[in-house]
Amino acid sequence: MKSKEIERKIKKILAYKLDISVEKINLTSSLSDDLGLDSFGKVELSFALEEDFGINIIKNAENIPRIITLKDLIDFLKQKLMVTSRK
Amino acid sequence: MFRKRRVVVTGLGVVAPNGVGKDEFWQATVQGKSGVDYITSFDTSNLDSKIAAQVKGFNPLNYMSTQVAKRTDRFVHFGLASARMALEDSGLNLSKEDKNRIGVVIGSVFGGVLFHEEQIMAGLQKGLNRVHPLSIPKVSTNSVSSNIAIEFDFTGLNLSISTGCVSGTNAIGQAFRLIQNNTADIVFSGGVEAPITPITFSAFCNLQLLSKKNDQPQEACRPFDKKRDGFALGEGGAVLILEELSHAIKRNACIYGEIHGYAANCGSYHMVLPEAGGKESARVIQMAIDDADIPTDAIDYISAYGNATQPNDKAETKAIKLVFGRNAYNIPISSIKSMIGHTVGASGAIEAVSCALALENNRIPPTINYEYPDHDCDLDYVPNKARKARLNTVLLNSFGVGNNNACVVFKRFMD
Repeated sequence: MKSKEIERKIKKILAYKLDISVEKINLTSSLSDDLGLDSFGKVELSFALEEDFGINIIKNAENIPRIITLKDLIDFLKQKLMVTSRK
Repeated sequence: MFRKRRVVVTGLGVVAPNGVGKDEFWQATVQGKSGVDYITSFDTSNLDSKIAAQVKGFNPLNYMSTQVAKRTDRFVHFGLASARMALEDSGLNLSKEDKNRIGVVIGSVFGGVLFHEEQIMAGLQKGLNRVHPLSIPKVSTNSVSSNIAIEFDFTGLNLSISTGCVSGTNAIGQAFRLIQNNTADIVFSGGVEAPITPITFSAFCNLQLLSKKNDQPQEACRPFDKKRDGFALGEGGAVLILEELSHAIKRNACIYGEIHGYAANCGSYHMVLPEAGGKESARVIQMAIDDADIPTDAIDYISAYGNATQPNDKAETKAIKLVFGRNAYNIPISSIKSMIGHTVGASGAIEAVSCALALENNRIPPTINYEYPDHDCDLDYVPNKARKARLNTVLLNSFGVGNNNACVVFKRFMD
């Protein structure tokens, strides 16, 4: 899956969860500080990403790198999807 | 002699099947407007009952943020909306109040059963690892009282009461005690329920508690009528703000009435059936009247439990006769369940709002759908039309599942 496709999907999920417009979400947006994603929001986001991308995030939570911006999250998912498709 | 602190009602909020907000609800109730209709949210084709008292025209976003609405079940929506309406009605300025002295006591039986059922389906269909991680905070029965506290930053005692169909009544009674005994100055008290969901509704239906008069939904729920065949399951919520009298007077609050007495007990007979002789129900009525320290003939109106099942309405009539003797025939009695169905843990709270408004307006709401007299239920049930009457003292009866009984005495406020 291409970066743009991943970005589009995540923005859609975030916009719905946080009740904001997609236009307000940038690659450099901090998920917590700029978008207001709280602890419940992170759990909900992980769950929604698992559904949409068919991957397992929560199970390997200790291996998740530090994700601050949307770009960090996209990079993490790209890597995760590559590993999943290799399997 | 030690004088107990007095407790008054200073704010009302209600989400009922026949009206949202105290004005719409009260207009509908005195006009005898039923909220019972066909169920549209799921398929009832193979169920005996296809009707329920659903809340219509309710938008949770009028009362809470989208974020909060998405993270909470429908039963919490009813609670938060009722609490916000009650707060606005009370005129309380929270920035001037000591939040440590504001408590919340809310009754509910089923909690977030709508979301719970959806997650059971998801778990069975997609696998248990697809059960939503926020199910616990969304489904827990105490999520309503906790969410009210979080929304308004109330740091006083926070309780959820689950005592079957009398949960809302016990919540008000316990809130009354918290203020009486100086644990709080203000308590947001009430009840909520959102049980019109596939599994929960079907369970009520299969237990043979629901009316099967599907042809005429609005005429199905007929308390005390000879042809009654069960209730229409209802949903909704109500919050009453109870306040210590001097606190209310100091801020020049509008006072609906005084909570004057409360009692609760358990019939300890059966999980669903009432004890036919009405003995324990009679005892709890007498205990509430004694707690209010008034003579039995002071009761001007009884808001009945009246759930429109054959055994309950008969037993409640017996209980009233046991307490009031011949005078039972002179007391107007009505069941607004005829209009709003049985809202389970919310019923006592919505009926308490009706009691407060009856006192304020000197109007007794009717028991609608009363057509065929039953010789076992031969009291004055205020059939079909509201009645004007000077009301000073009103009794709220709640006798529910598990033989839990609770009564509250409301009194016109006088210095």
